[in-house]
Amino acid sequence: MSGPLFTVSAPPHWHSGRLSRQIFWESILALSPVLVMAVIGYGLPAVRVLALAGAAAVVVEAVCERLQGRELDVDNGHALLTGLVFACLLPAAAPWWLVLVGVGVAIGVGKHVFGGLGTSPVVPALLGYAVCQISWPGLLRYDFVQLDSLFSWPLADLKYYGRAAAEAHGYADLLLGRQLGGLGACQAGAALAGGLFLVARGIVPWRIPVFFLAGLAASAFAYQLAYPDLAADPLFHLLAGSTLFAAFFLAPEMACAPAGRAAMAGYGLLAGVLVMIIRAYGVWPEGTTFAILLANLTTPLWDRIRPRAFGKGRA
Amino acid sequence: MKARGRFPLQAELSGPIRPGPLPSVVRIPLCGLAALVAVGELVRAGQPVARGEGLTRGDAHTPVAGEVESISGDTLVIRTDPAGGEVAPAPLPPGLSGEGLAASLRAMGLDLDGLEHAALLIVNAVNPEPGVRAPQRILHDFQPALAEGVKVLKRLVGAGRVVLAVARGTELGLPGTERVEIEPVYPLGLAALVVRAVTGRESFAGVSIVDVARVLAAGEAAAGRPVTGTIVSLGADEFRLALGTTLAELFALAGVTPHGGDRVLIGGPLRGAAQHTLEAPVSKWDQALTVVPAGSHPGFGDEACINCGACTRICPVRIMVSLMNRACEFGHYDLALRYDLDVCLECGLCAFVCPARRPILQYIRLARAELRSRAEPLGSVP
Repeated sequence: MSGPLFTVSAPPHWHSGRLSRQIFWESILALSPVLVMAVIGYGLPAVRVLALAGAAAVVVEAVCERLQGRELDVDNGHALLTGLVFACLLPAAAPWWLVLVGVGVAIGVGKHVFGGLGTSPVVPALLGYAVCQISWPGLLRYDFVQLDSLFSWPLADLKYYGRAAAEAHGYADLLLGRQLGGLGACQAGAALAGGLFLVARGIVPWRIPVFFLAGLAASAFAYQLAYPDLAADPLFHLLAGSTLFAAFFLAPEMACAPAGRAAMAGYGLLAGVLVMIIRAYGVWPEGTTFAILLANLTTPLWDRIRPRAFGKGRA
Repeated sequence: MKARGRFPLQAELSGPIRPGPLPSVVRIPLCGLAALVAVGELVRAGQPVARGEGLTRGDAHTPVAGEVESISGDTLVIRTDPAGGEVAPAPLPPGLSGEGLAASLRAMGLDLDGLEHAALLIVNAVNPEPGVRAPQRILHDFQPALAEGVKVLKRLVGAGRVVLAVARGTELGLPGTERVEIEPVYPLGLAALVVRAVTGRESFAGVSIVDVARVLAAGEAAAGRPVTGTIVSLGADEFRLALGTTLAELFALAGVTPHGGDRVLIGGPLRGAAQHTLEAPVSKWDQALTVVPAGSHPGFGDEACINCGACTRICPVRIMVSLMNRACEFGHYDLALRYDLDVCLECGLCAFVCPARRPILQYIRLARAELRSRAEPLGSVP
């Protein structure tokens, strides 16, 4: 039978048109305020780290896919996004080899060892960061390596010099990124702006950042009630360090966060509470890295919380 | 709204229903039917040509007079003879009920699946999908026949109460029924969700639900006219088609020219069945024909799931699609069943929103077919 050849497939025959690559490129767009503020705040050294991490992530991804004999999909933006997010966690003065090691671990181990896009059990950028943090702790002490800065590290101030030193940082300063920290991660206001864009576009489900921040604020409040002399107020914890960046760019990483509504709330809450516990009792001033990594490991458990499907509820 | 997968179901109706073409041949699918005629036999319009097997399957009647040209495999082909005769309508004797009524309705071509004995009969007049306006059109145009059909089906089912489910904002009703308004947004017009809206329960227990096309057919059957046609939406219009009309003949009449790479669907854009040839016929209860132009929507790919959770969040029956579907993909069908594979309504919204363009519904159907072939009970497949 002659005639035109039609496309045949299972339904549906319409698609929303929103594709993975669009999600990742829009996430990079959402990250751009953070990048701009980082460059304004730290100048060329920040450009150096960002460019190196971004480029290295793309190359490592391409090499990994080539080695596995996979079709190259590095143009979908996910590797670039991961590299840039990782760079945002580093001090602007990080040595080049540290950037490369971190990116190699993030993309190579965090993403490809487990099967590539969508399979990471933990946030790849955070895995890279954690490996660097444990291996070369001194190089990731923002207050040790960023000696040319006028600012100080608010969370370290809180830990070592107490509440008064921490509260010397004005909220407006914290929001504008006038604090020492990861070159992009400390840009609290820019991270919030980008994060709201991600939520508005439906890329980040609102429950994860909201419950993350709520968990952190609630536990900071509880800690303040228990130790009024030592503890900083909850708003300080929300604005200091990488909290807002983590809430929108790290904790909701799709591959390693749960998908159910209740599960997302619980996961966010757990990560937020863990941040405060680590900040209060840990040896490291910043708590987001290990809090989110630990929360990632609980994702399979959260995914066991399932709503009762249609007709399977009360009879 | 469309990008988020919220499709309105109610639409403006265009002018009157258009008549379909007089088909040169009709092709009658024989799946579940046994042919009653032989090749070369002359048939009259309205004559039964195949008998339904089982307890629910109705007989097939030819809509045209002509000669049986071939019976091959699963299709019976009749070449039309416009000068051929017609079977005179023989109204059903009034007062029939129970098995006798069921047998008479089957002999008139009605399929009776879903019409078990029940206290509540729901007549679903909500459009099932965007672009499918046949139920809305039938409710609007065929009030007397529908009223008769309601009486017949109420007797068949033994229902004490008949509810008409209509789109919110519709004024129309039917005598002998209570109206329940349904929010006209996809997929709320699908049977399981209409039952929930009417009864408040997520269960078909004690309920029979039937769409208006079959109520219309029951009304016609009572007047002695067998099921020989169907009303379908195509573009902005509705057509009344003889069963077995090929898509090619209808498209020629309607001025629709599908090109290579397009999708030609029997049904709507979200649940329709893609056809590989325009020689495919229109069958009983088909409600729409849709052409989706090539390139207007991204096709399916085989990318990995990125675990974004969009499918899970849009699922109207609360399935964790992202988990269930990966179980289907990798052949863990029992696990998929534990992740509520059996509940799926096949509305297709998960695949509509999937950014990785995964053929989610195809995996679901594959898993269901595999489980069926193992003869394991699937539970309540709608």
